[in-house]
Amino acid sequence: MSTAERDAGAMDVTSQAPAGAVTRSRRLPKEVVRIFLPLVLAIVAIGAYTSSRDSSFVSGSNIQGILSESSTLGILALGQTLLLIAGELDLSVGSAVSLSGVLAAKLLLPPSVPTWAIVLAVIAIGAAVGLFWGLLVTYVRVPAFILTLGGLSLLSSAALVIANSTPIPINSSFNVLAVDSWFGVRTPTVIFALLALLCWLGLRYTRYGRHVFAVGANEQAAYLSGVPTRSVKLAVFVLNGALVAPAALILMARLGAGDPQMGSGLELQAVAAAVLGGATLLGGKGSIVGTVLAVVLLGVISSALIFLNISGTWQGAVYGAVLVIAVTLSALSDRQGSERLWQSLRRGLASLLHRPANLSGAGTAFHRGGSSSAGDSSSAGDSSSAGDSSSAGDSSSPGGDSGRGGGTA
Amino acid sequence: MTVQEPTGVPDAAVLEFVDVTKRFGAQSALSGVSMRVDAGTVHALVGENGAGKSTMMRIASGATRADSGQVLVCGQAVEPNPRSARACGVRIVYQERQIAMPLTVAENVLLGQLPSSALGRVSRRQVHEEAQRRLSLLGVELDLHRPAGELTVAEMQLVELARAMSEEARLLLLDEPTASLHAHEVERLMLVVRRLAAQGMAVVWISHHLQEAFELAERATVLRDGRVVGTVQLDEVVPSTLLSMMFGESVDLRRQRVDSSVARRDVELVAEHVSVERVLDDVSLELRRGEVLALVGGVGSGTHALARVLAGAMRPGAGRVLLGPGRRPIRSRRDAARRGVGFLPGDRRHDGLLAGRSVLENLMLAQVAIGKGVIVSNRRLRNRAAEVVRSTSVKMGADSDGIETLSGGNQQKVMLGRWLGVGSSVLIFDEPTVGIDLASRFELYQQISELAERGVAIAVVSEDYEEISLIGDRVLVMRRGRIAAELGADEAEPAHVRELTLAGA
Ligand SMILES: Nc1ncnc2c1ncn2[C@@H]1O[C@H](COP(=O)(O)OP(=O)(O)O)[C@@H](O)[C@H]1O
Ligand SMILES: [Mg+2]
Repeated sequence: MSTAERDAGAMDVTSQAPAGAVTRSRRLPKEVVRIFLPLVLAIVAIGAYTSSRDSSFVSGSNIQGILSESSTLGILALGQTLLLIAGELDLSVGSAVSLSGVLAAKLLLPPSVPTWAIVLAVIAIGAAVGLFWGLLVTYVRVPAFILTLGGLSLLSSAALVIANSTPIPINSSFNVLAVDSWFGVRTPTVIFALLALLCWLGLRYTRYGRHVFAVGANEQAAYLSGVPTRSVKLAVFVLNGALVAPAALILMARLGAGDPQMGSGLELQAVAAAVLGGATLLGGKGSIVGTVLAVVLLGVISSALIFLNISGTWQGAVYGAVLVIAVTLSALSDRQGSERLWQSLRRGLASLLHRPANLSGAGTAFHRGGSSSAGDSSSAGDSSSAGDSSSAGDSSSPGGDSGRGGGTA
Repeated sequence: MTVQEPTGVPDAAVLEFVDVTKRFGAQSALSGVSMRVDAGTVHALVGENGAGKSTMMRIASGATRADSGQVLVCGQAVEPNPRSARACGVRIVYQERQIAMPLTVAENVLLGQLPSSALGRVSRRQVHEEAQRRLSLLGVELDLHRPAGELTVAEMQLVELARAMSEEARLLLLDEPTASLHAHEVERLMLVVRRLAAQGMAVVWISHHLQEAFELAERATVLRDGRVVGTVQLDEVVPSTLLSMMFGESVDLRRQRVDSSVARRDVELVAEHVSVERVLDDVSLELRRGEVLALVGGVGSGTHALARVLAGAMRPGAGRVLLGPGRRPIRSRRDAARRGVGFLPGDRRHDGLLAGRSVLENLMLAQVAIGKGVIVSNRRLRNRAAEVVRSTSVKMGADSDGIETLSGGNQQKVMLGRWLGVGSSVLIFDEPTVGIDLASRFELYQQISELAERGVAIAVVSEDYEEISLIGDRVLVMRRGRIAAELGADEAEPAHVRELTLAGA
């Protein structure tokens, strides 16, 4: 019996993979149980409670309303998620929304500029602002937090100055963003969904998306492995800046005016949504699916407050409480002791959802002769991974290819 | 090998294990272990991970109770209670650091033994005097007011040693004290330990570095699977004897060297008059395919910087690094990585691993970083990873498990696998075996040899003279940013390399 086996045995590990063998996890991926499930449960619980008081809460039009009103926040949260995964953040997006809205409204004043030109201009401004922050962060190494906090002030003042501190009413050019719908779904929702899908695909399936995760998880390691870390960060800042444009235009269309204060506070809500969805301020973690669910949860909460006749002044308090509770729970659940509980939960759920995967094609052991085969002692997982490591080959669970720790898009 | 019967004067024994047995549940950690440590000597305790070394130390310090057998300190049976063992003069420095980060150095030296007045008030002056006294017993100087969180690991260790110091201390147990120290810090620690032994203290020294045992200790006891294989007089044996005892089979350490034909192999990497301000001073070297070039040097020698320059991760102020048959200059780290230069940084946790991410992602980082095409195929990554895992024999569970679940040795294999996966033709290792257990270390040496045989050009920066003499085909000794000497494999005896390294210091 090798030392490794004995050591592991002492740690109550019932499974042992031979050196050189790979196995696949048959648990649900971590983020499904830890993040997606609680968010979905919260949405369902709030929805159920509110509709028990007023059944029109789950009516088609209210759901449409919730989704389309969440779109602005949702789009900003997408950008923030990308940034947080890369280990950065941008607190200026709220002010950037105000500024973009004001500028677009100005351009709509007679003699009006064509709509497409306005859209392009707003995108360009957002991207340029993002590029500016990105350059300062990557080349001058200014901390993004402080930098974009300054940006928040700067841009919001700029919006107030340009708009002369009063909302600028707009004509009907952007009504398509406010009233139209595509196959029964309102345009803002469609735009948000498309952008979310793009981000999800990009993070998950493109090389660039993987670079974002690597840079956030350990910038040095990524750099030393050949990831172009600066351009990755720059690109994320630019993308985030560009995403301000659709968010701002949608909000402006809904309000019917370019309001110099329309975006204030959105930056914090966007960070909150991304964090609720699984991102951390340390980088390397985050998920588009999680962020979308979190945005929907926040939308459901604010609509429920209205249905339950709770004053709008409470909205901030409720949002804040949700965030505090969520990050506390997630910190608690990251503690050592709860790891087993989570893992058995994941395994239990996986076995409910899927019949056990076939056990064929066990990993090939690599046998080494000589003295060096006795090896390390701490390579084992924990007791609850018993079933996992003994099976190899393809597992049919969704964990099969997305189980890369909390990081899937 | 000579198995040493206890022959010294009987009352000189400070620590004696007689037929000690210890089980954890169904599993036996120590079976019938006997050992004797005499006053005024350093006694090395060696054995693979899990051999039972730490368990023996915990029993001697009263932290764990033996199931049967006798444990005597100065002829008295040790009570299974750390306080009474302490009263008997037993001091232990555990494998894990026991430092209260927010407290000052002085407070940490006296942790758990703060002198206080009758009212429980701690007198700051008294604390400082006592801490100072203990540090001077060790012969080290540390700023007593510094928060312990600012100390280096080596300094923390000294603080713990100081904590162990007092007049009554007779037996000092050091469990892997050098696992996370640099060579020069090891030297300082050994100096302190030597002095303590000369003052009559008995010291048990546990380490995976046999070289330390040979330099420091008179005798060594070898443990394997919870049994004593033997106790040897260290001036009568050679390292490979100890290794054979530890592993239970004969071990041939020297790598099969490629003969002088290396000189005719292609040059893969060239440094031309490389300088980095205040770090490197006009360094030129050639790295050939199929050779292992060892770069050795102490603090300020510039070896680590040179490794980074060769890898393209540090831009030299003057000079250039040329790569490949075309001798085109390296423009950036990414450029070097794409053209086949793999780099394994010394600080794996800080510079190498993606914390909190899966084994798969860590293994495939270089592939993802420099691979071609926009779309990344999970399936292909997985298959590639499985191949690499087989060829590097990483011991792991599921590939989606976190990288933290692997031991240091296996993490290093993942780092190596990262570059094997992209077929690197040049590999640059910075301190490849720091924090790695013995078995993985020799496995890594073997892998390095095999890679060299397959024509990979390899440079290894190391402060471990034993390691250098084991794997280097050619050794460059650096001092103050310059190459001070070049040795062939047959000249690279550890003692000689050490002498050359320290010569200018
Ligand atoms: N507290 C414990 N509970 C169960 N098993 C243990 C415990 N401590 C040590 N062991 C087991 O006893 C054996 C010896 O361990 P240890 O003394 O730590 O070895 P070493 O220090 O030589 O690496 C190992 O197999 C280890 O798993
Ligand atoms: Mg130990």
